[in-house]
Amino acid sequence: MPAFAFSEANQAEVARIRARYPADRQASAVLPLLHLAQAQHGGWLPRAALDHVADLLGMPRIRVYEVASFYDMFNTEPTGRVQVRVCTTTPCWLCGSDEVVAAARETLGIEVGETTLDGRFFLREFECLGACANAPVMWIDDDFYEDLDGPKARAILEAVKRGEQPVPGPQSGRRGSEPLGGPTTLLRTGE
Amino acid sequence: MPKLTIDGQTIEVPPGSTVLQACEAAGREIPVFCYHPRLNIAGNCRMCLVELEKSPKPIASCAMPAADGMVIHTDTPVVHKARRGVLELLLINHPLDCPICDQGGECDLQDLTLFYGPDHSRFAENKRPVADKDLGPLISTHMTRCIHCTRCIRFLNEVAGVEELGACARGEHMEITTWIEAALTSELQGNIIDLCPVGALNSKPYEYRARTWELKKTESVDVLDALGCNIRVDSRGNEVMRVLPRLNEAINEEWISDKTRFAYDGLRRRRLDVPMVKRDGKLREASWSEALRAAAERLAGTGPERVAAVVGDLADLESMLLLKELMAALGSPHLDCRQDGAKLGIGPRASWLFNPTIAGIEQADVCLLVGCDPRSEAPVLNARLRKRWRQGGFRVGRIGPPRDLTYPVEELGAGPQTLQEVVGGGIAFAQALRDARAPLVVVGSGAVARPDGAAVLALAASLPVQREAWNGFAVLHRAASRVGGLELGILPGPGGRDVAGILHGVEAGEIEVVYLLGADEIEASRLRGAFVIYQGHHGDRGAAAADIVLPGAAYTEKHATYVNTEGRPQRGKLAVFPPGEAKEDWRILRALHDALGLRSDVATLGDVRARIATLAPHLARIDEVTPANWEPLADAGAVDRAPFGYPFDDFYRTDSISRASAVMAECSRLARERRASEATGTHG
Amino acid sequence: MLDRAARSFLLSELVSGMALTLRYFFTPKATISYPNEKSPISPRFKGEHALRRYPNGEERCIACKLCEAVCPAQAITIEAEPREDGSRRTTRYDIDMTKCIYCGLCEEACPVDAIVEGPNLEFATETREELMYDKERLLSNGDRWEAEIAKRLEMDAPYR
Repeated sequence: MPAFAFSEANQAEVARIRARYPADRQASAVLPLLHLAQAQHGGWLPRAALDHVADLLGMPRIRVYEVASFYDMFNTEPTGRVQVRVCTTTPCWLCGSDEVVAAARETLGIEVGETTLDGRFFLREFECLGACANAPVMWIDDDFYEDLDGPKARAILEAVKRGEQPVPGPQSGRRGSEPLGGPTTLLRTGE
Repeated sequence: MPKLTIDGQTIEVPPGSTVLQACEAAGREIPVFCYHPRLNIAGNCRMCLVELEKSPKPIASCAMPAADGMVIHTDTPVVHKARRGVLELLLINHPLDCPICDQGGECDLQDLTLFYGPDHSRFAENKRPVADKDLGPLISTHMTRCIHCTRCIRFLNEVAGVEELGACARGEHMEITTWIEAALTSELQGNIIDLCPVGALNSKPYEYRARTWELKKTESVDVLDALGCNIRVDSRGNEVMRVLPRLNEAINEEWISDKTRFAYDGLRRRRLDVPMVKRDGKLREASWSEALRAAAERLAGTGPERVAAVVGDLADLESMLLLKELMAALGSPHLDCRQDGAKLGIGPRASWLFNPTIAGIEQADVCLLVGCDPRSEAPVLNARLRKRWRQGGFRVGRIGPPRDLTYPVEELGAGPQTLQEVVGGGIAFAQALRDARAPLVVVGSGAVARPDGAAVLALAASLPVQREAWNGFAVLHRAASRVGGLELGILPGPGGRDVAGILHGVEAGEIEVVYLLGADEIEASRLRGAFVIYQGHHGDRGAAAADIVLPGAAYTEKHATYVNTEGRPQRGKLAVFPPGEAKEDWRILRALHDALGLRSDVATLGDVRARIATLAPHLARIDEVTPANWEPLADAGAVDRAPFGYPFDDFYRTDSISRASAVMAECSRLARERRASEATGTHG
Repeated sequence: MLDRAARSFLLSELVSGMALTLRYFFTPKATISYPNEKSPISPRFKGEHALRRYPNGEERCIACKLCEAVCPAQAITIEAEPREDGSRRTTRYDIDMTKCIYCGLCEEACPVDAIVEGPNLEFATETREELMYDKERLLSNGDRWEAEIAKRLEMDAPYR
């Protein structure tokens, strides 16, 4: 099994994260360290990385395996470099997440749970992303794209494919999660 | 003291109790899966729901602290509906394969479904299958049956202290697993089989071999370590099918070690089942009368100065007494029960007992381990030490080479000179011992089984661990027979030789006949010059050197008394009969008396026990510890500088029974491989 | 008085008795010439035991030992251990047919319809030893009678 170690640059980050927690509560640092390790290791966590984090924090290894397998944000198997996650929980589904999934499948040419042949994109369905007011939602790497439908999702993915970075956030033109037809309260200001 | 009303009955419970405990105190039975009185509360099975007045929903009684003025109902339609609902949900994914499940007949889920469950399922979809895990040679898994109570995880985390099992993934995909396929390493892992409320974790050696209802259950005592763990021997026909723990708060609570639980397959292998006499250099089968006559002729025809006897680690009190009487009648002083050469038994009784008692460990606040590795010598005792450590405010120091005990230990040093320093008060730990309310010193049998053993014992005994109504001086023995032997005085008489002296004597030609009562832990090859009579149950080291073999009974095959390391006499019972022509050991020695023409007025086992009761009345008080009076030991000379050693490098193979066991051999092989890979750093 | 005398003199009882005899003389006979003819038996008839197999040839018995436990005559002896493929199977399945009281409880207890009491009632032997059935014998019984056993089970199924 190839060994895993944090890179020079990340060593400092590890020290900074660990300094946030008291010496006898180092296990609290497990989530940020796993995120860091995953970012360093191309989007997924090999067993060596899990073991390294466990040994670093003085935790039994199984406790780290439990954490890594519990959260969907951690991948314990190799994935594509760009993570495309489409929320399919009830509110998004009611607002048409099926269309978004279909658009993603067509645009990327892969099924849900698969990685493109060039190893670039990884598509998966995800449980609630906590942005139900802007359903349906798609999460690409670090950005949320909201208020989607089929064509919008397709346009965003095409842009990402070309190497562009589309503007994240609601795609319907509204700001944040204000009502779709514009504000309905607090219309008058300064009174 | 919160006062509650439970089903109209008012009850007062100690502060900190849960509603479940209050219900039990009120005599109400609350069904549970995940709750276990000796483990942390998880509250995840929801089986213990009860109705609390003014609460909008039923509450999980195992996790709800009892509070003053609560009004609880345990027998209302709401409670019944809740239980039925919980069971229906559990049974959604639990397979209905009770006929092939080893848990069938003693399954919590089966029983509770019968009493509280629905009569049918409304779930028409497919059940969730889960891949079985490989947990090693002791535990077989059927993970589809798992109901995620997490008792096994909590046991390994809390009691065994080896965190290897976890609940990975979540929700519907949650699985109990080691994540990386690897055998469990705990020496207490077998207990998770008993803890599992369903058939997900089962005993691998027992797998599919019997059903619970056809087993004869015999309550007995374990002899594979010196704790005398209480066990239940389950047998079918004349075969031991499994060994389970029996509740005894004073000794093993409800845990037993893997050796106790799984070594029973050694009872079927390498057994001595016919008397044998050596003719033309080879052991040949003989009749009992021939063998006894041959032994008697040899014993009678040799001068008493040239006859010696050694008592083994698994011997019972009754046969030891008869052997002592035999040697006395022959006039030989060469008799010893300390195969390991421990310098114990010379001083007062308190100098070789576990005086604070095993349950007393929970009162201790500072503990010093002297040449003692409780994890390999008595894993259940180690679990008790860990339990005390988990309660907090427990400081453990060790003199001896480092070994992982599952709790933090202050390494003070490796040999007797460190002990001298502690006695002299030169190091900080000495002060802690002096200041402690209930200090505990555990002297291992490895620390006294060395040439300067008596000096080490005297040094350890001079530590300031006596308090009012507390004697913190404890000797942890390695063998089930040892304390019994010391109590009966199975020791060299005036001018007699100990085990080392007997071996020397054989080599020097001064000892001609050696009688081994199940003695397998001595260097049998050094007995080549003597005529060896071996009485025992396994063809192990002792029998290999024998000229006459008298087949005896193993601990599951006789009614016998054993004294544990605390000095607690306990009765083992016959579960199956000895194989072939083998006989209970006291009968063999009684017959040898006859063959020698010696007068013996014992005719029954009761007579032998009556004799023991007159010699040592406290040995007749079964299951009771008779405290020993503390007297300081005389100084016993200088100690040398050699570091302490531990008796067992291989926990799984320490006696003739576990050495004959294939299951233990496999465990031992895995442990060796694990140690080797850890040493070379090729793991992970 | 007169009536009684008339009956005894006219032999009316004798005549009615003889009439009955005559009636039965002409009705069809209930007796059959046994080895050549056989009476019909119920689909629930409890005859000789058999161990059945699945259509793919796999033996049904899973060694749950419920039949052994339920047997009031303690005629069944089972020993089990894991087979090479890890499944639960018997290594020994003996029925002492001289102890068996043909109550059919084993069949009732079986969760997989492995042990059945078939339609065969002609298994008399010359020695007692031949009535100690082992697993091989029971399985071969099953193979021999499977067609009929399956038909009987099907016929009885609606009433179970």
